[in-house]
Amino acid sequence: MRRALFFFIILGSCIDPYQPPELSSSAPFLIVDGFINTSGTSKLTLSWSQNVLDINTPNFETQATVWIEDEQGVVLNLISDSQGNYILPSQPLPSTNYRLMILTSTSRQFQSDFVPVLQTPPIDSVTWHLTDDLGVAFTVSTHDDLTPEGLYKWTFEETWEYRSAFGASVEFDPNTKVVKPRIENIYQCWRTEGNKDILVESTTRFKENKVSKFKLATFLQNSEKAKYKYSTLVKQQAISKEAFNYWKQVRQTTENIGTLFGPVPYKVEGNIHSSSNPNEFAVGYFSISSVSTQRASVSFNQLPTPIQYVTHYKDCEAFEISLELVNFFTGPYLLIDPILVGNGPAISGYRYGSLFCVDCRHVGGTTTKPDFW
Amino acid sequence: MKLLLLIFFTSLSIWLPAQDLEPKISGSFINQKFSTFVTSVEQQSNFRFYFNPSQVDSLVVNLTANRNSLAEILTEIFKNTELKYVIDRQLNVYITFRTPLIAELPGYFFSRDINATETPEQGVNKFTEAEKVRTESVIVIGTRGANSKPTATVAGYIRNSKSGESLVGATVMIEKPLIGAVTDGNGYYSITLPKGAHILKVNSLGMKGVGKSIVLHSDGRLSIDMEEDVLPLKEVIIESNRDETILGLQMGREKFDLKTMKQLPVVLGEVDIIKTVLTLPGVQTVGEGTVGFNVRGGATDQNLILFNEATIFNPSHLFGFFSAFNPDIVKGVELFKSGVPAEYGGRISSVLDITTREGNKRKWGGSGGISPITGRLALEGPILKDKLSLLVSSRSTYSDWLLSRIPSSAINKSAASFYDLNANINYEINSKNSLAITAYTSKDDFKLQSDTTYQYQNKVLGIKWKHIFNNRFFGSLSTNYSGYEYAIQSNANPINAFNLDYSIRQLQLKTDFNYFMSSKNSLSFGGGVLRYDLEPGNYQPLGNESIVTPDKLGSEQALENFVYAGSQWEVNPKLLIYGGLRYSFFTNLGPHSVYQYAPGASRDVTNIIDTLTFTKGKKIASYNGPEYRISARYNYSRTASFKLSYNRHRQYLQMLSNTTAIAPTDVWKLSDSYIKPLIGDQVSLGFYQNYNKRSIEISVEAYYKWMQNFLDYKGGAELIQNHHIETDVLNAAGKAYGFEFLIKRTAGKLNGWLSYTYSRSLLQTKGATSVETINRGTVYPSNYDKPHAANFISNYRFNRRINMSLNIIYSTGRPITLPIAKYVIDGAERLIYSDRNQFRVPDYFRTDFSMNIEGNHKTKKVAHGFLSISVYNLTGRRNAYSVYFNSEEGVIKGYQLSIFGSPIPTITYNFKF
Repeated sequence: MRRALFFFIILGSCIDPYQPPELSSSAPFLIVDGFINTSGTSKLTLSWSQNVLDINTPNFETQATVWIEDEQGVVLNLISDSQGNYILPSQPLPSTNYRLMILTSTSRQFQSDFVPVLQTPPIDSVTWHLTDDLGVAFTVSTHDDLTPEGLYKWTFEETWEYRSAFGASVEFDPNTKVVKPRIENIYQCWRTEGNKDILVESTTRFKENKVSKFKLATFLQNSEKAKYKYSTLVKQQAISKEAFNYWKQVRQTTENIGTLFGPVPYKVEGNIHSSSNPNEFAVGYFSISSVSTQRASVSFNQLPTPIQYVTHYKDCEAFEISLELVNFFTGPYLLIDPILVGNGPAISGYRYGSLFCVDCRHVGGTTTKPDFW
Repeated sequence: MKLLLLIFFTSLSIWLPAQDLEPKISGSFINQKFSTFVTSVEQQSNFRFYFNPSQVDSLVVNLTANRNSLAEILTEIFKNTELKYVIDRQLNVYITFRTPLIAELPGYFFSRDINATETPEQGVNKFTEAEKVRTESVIVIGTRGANSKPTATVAGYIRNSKSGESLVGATVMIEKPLIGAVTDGNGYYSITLPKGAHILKVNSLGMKGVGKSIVLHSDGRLSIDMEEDVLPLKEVIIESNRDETILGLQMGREKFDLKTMKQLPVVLGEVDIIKTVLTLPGVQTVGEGTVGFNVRGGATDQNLILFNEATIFNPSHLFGFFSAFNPDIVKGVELFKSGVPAEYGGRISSVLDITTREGNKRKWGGSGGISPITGRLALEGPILKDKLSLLVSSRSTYSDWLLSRIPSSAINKSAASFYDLNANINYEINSKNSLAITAYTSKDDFKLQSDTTYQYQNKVLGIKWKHIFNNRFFGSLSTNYSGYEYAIQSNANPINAFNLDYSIRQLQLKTDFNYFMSSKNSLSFGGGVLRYDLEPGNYQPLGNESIVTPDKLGSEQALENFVYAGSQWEVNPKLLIYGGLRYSFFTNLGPHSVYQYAPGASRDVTNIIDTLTFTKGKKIASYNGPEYRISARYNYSRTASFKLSYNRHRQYLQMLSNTTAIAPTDVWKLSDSYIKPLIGDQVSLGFYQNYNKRSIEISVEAYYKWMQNFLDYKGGAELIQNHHIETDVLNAAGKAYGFEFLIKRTAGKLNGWLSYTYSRSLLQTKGATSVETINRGTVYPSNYDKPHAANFISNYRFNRRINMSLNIIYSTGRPITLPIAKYVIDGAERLIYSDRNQFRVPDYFRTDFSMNIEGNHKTKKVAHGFLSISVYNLTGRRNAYSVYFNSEEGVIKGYQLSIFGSPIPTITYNFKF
């Protein structure tokens, strides 16, 4: 009879940051970002890839000639804004298939495969629900009775209201050295951001062309997004099977790498190739479709109240400055409000805080209330 | 009595100076040959002489005797020679050369305290220096003068004296002339020897060496019981392999038992078969925490893993942190890297043959263990004493804590459990027939992020009947079933809830025969049939609300028939050759539908032009071919040999996997109209030399391998629920080459080995079109190409109670594909990757330490204690398992994942009673 008793084991595994060796990249790749929207103005952005550790902004291809053409050679030109964006004004596309043609400033020529003009079904609903891990999740549902199977790509623009740490009622005019009531709102802001993840779904494995509650965005119930009001504009786009595979592969090679059973990363090629060199390709996937949109929102009073919100402003504090010294008020600070003597009206000085804590625009938002708010 | 067994004698005979009873000899022996003298002595008395004629042929007898004792006469004859003699009670006369027989028991033989702990260290050393053979009285086999043949065959079982279990792979040999045999899977040996007196030496892993003085007159049986070596002393374990390395035909073979495994420092407190295999030269893994292993540049699915002769498809538990075999029931493990005999087939890289114990045939007993992760129990004993034994074992987890430590949110919110069960029944029906039944199952159950459940299970059942026709000819008939299945379930969203099942079943019927034609010639042959049944995927809705479309991939079935024959021939004492041929026929059968692709176009869904439907039993595709197995050994001295082998293997079943490690969801695929059988050829050459009384072994083996029809994958290949897998896989050609250098010290206080391996594993995928080509058709390293690897495995014995092990492992980092550029699309940074496998993770380096402290060595006491302290990854080096880049909040970040990033100490207390 044998027995073994193990007194203790400590298992330590870890993830450390990794700096790759200085990788000598080949010539930069042309990057094609965007698609042709048949229900509005379309924008394609052309840029060049960078080395992985390059911290500069990417180089845009501002001097290219960009057009789309159908199988009969009918051409529609995109207009350059000289900043790397190429615009196609809203217009009907009569043909069934088009391809993208690009001639760069260095005379490198790229062309996409012919792609069909796809019709996107409307969004059925954008809804939210609370998740087990104290989050709020926004999901999209859609269906299409016209086609047996559907492949979709979503993007969204999320907007949320937030407020700076202190609502400033006064301001110091450095020219006149006078403290005056603040008229302009720098307390209440709205911030808008696009999604970062690739959101694609296929109904091929379902009996119906129906997407039920596909998860788009989540945030925590104690985050800044949950504190006042959050709204998201979801844009839905029908895509082809090849486009679906492309986006899935891009997602796989950048978002799902590193787990124990994760796939080996690989080079993903889209449908835009060099016209001259078969081994050369442009990064991106050219597609054409209409876009369906829907907006949904949630307010703090619809959500459970957390013990404490975690926002940008959690470390903010206010300081005081006396009336005598307020004339010398300077630096990256803003006055907040007067300090009353007793119940007033006499004041002993002013509270002030950092620009970051007082002016909500410093975090990246705007004080202009969106029209959908 | 244990002490006595530790004391070894060159030879021990009972000698009685009973002069009075001895017949007296008279006669005139003038200028006679010694043999003539012997004949006349034998004629006039009952004396029987045993000697080697070559040692006495120069001797001339010149004396006259008149009722002299034989002792007086022999003393006179041998006066100026180095010949020695002994006369026993039965009047047998043994004449030996140079080595004097011990004619009386040592003075302390009976008086010494039997408590081994009081044995002076020097005393032990004295005897370990001597040849460790214990002989008892002479055993006479057969009938004198039964026939006139110069040779006779001895056969029988070698068993463990304590449990009655047979010992596999024990060596049975005589030294002069050098003739040896090895016991087969049932512990049965057969050896043909010249008639006369021999010392038959028997060695087996973990057992004390035994020497039997035999006198062979004609064919007969001799079963030998061996005693277990109580102490896990490496020198004893290695001892049995000493002669085999040089004299055996096998090359590229590694053999070890539970005791060897126990000496190595372990992680998570479990002795693990596959982790032990990984310390051997030529065996690599892609990273820690993976059970899959790569042998000489082959893929993980190219290893034939046999558990009592039945194939195991997934040898891992819990993401590969444990191998799926309960170490308590394992009897022996053999790994063939090259020189695979013809009886093995089906995988091209290696054979890992695991045999379990049969169960104690003499008394009931048990063993077990408990750790924070697993608990295990084994019970064994006789149902009919010495006839029918039963062994059952079980191992299971009861803790999920390990998962919470894994640095991945996908895992630490999860749950996991596993178990394995095993039952063996051995029935020795009579001396000619025996029956063995094995049943085994292992199951894993785990849940990722609390909504998807994964399960996988191995199931094995084997029945083997062995029949001994005669001493030289025996055979077996066996059937076994191996099944593997997995299921994935998700019910997070009732609308999309699903269940996905996969299963593979393999049924085998085979027969094997061994025929020992003579001491120089043996033949093994057999054949069999394998039936494969695969359900490659069944995707079904789960629950009423689910709108998932049921999707069932067409089942696959195939038959594989094989015949083989192999013969070993000792051309002369220096040259030994083995030639074997295996021929396999594989047929993929209907019912199944096969897509037809436009000729000349790339194999892609868009190019499907037709679907062919095959009805049940209809041939879809068939392949057949020979597999050559040739080995040769040439001894150019007693302590050195050259070996050469050439092997061809064919593999009709491959695993589809584009993850780095074996994943539980990897699927096995049969060869079909598009996926051709994998063919591997290997040539290897080895040189072996022993020094310093064979305590130091040096070996160098070099090999070159070619692989045809190796499967590689298109980037982003979809391997699950794929109705046209042929569109996602690519046909690659592989080659692997390298050499393995090993220096091993097998005796003394410090033993262990140092190995260095240089190996490359390269692939080339050059399809008809660019999508079917990888890296533009250039040669690229495989995922497990690790050119340099060095292992230092050592064990130092301070005294009989304390020993210490230190292992140092180094290897080149494995190849990876790294990003070479970044870009922004849809507002987030993304990466462009390099050509496949153009970079490497940082080199791997690990040091392990362990110390075993034994209790005292009284052999009769309540419990035998054994404390083991080990530290895995002593230096705490964070070895990169993988390097990866993620786009988080739109910014690219690089990470390095280490599985065991700090030292992992374990204290284990074992006791035995």
